[in-house]
Amino acid sequence: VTALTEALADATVVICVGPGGVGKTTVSAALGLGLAARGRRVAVVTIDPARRLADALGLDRLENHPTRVGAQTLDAAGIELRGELWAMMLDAKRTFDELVETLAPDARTRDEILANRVYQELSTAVGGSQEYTAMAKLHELVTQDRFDVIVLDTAPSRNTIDFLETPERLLGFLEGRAAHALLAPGAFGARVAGTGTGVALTLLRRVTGVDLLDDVQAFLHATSGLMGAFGDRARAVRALLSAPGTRSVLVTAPRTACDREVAALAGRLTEAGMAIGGVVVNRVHPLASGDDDPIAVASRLEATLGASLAGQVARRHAELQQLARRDGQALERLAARMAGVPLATVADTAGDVHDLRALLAISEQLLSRAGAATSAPAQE
Amino acid sequence: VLSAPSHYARVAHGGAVQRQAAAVAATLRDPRHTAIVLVATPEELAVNETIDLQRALADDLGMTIERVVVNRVLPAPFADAEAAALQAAPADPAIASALWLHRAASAQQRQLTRLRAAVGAVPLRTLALRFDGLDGADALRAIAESL
Repeated sequence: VTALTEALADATVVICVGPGGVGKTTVSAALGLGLAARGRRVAVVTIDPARRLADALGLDRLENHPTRVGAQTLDAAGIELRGELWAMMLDAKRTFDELVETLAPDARTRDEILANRVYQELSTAVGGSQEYTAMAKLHELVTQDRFDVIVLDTAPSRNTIDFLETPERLLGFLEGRAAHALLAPGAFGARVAGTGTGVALTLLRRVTGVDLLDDVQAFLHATSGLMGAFGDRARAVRALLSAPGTRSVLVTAPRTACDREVAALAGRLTEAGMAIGGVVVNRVHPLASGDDDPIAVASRLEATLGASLAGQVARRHAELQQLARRDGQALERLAARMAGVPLATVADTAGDVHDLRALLAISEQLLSRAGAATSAPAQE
Repeated sequence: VLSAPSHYARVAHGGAVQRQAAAVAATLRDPRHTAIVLVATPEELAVNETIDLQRALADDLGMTIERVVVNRVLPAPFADAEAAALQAAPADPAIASALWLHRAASAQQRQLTRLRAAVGAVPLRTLALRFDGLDGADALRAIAESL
């Protein structure tokens, strides 16, 4: 099996996917740092609204465009990068607005769209807009040609991959009959007025009080000049996802169903034509060598620690070993199910990752050629 | 999900949809009908999300949080003197494990403290992590008991 580092050697886009709460943002940042240390110009695009990543990277805040991690910060952490590390946090609303600004044929159309109620709902709604804008931003960064690799952190996904479907969904809508009907010359309202549908709609509006249809129609009219450009953009993004330099990295934690979750995600990605760079299992509990029978451990340590503390230590040791063994079983199931795919494990850091050195340690586990083995906890 | 009725009530200008949505929103806001229990794990991301969620529910939707449950809490960290004694002791895999869990539990306690401060007067309960990973009926009964 090749190591993750080889699988990502010629990657130009790395997309980290996986469920929430497995440390995807940290893994994305560590991958970015590791690739930058190996000489590449890297931009990490995160969606994590916490300040943690900005703090760890020594940046005041993350903007909606890449900011470079400064030489001073790197020097202070004793880290030398042969390449460059840039980071940004995706602002969905901002990116959407910028896209409209870029694609609108004139200022009037732009203002009309930005002020439209449906547009405002669409661009701020949590579901969908984040995925679409992440893709739009990715496309923007790739076409700028300022970076060798873009590492994209995505919204949590257990078995569906919304960002893969978003460009297609948008295309389907733009090219679909509903949009055409609403956009047809003479307009929907006028055409159906007097017909049964028109009467029914008018009645529906009066009874329900919902006149959303008018807003949708106004939105579609305002955006009709952009439809072609939006469609082209969606197609370009779709092509980018299955481009030769694009790799997905599936991030998970060693829990019971992780093998099935990862396999399901991998299936969806492969179906969509995306290459799989590897699987990262984050937060693996350290397995110690030697005896873990609490009675034996307690009696071994009694002379040094006293009976009470030795007993507690023996219990903690047995508990951690229990977690580590369960992790080991989950890893075995995962390795069996994902045979042939590069697999990297990252030891649980027993707390939050707060600085560049901690990120670098993770990146070494991710990108070391041997693949990181689960090791005993370091005694501090 | 909880904000959907209010959204509908705002989008509709009068009529049956508006009345229905407003009634559903009112039921969700009424603590006699609806109890909101926030569930978190003692990790930074989960605590951030819980704090944001509590603010959104309370400030934007006018809902009352009944309680907060924090799941998968590790055994309490060692007292300072004990931790110091363990750090000074000769290298041993069991001591390394104990110190590892001590660090992890200390990080959890920091997040719990942050969460407690944020939720203020809302009762907060913790559930211990099950090292054996069991999640059958017995485990459920034990959790129900401690809640």
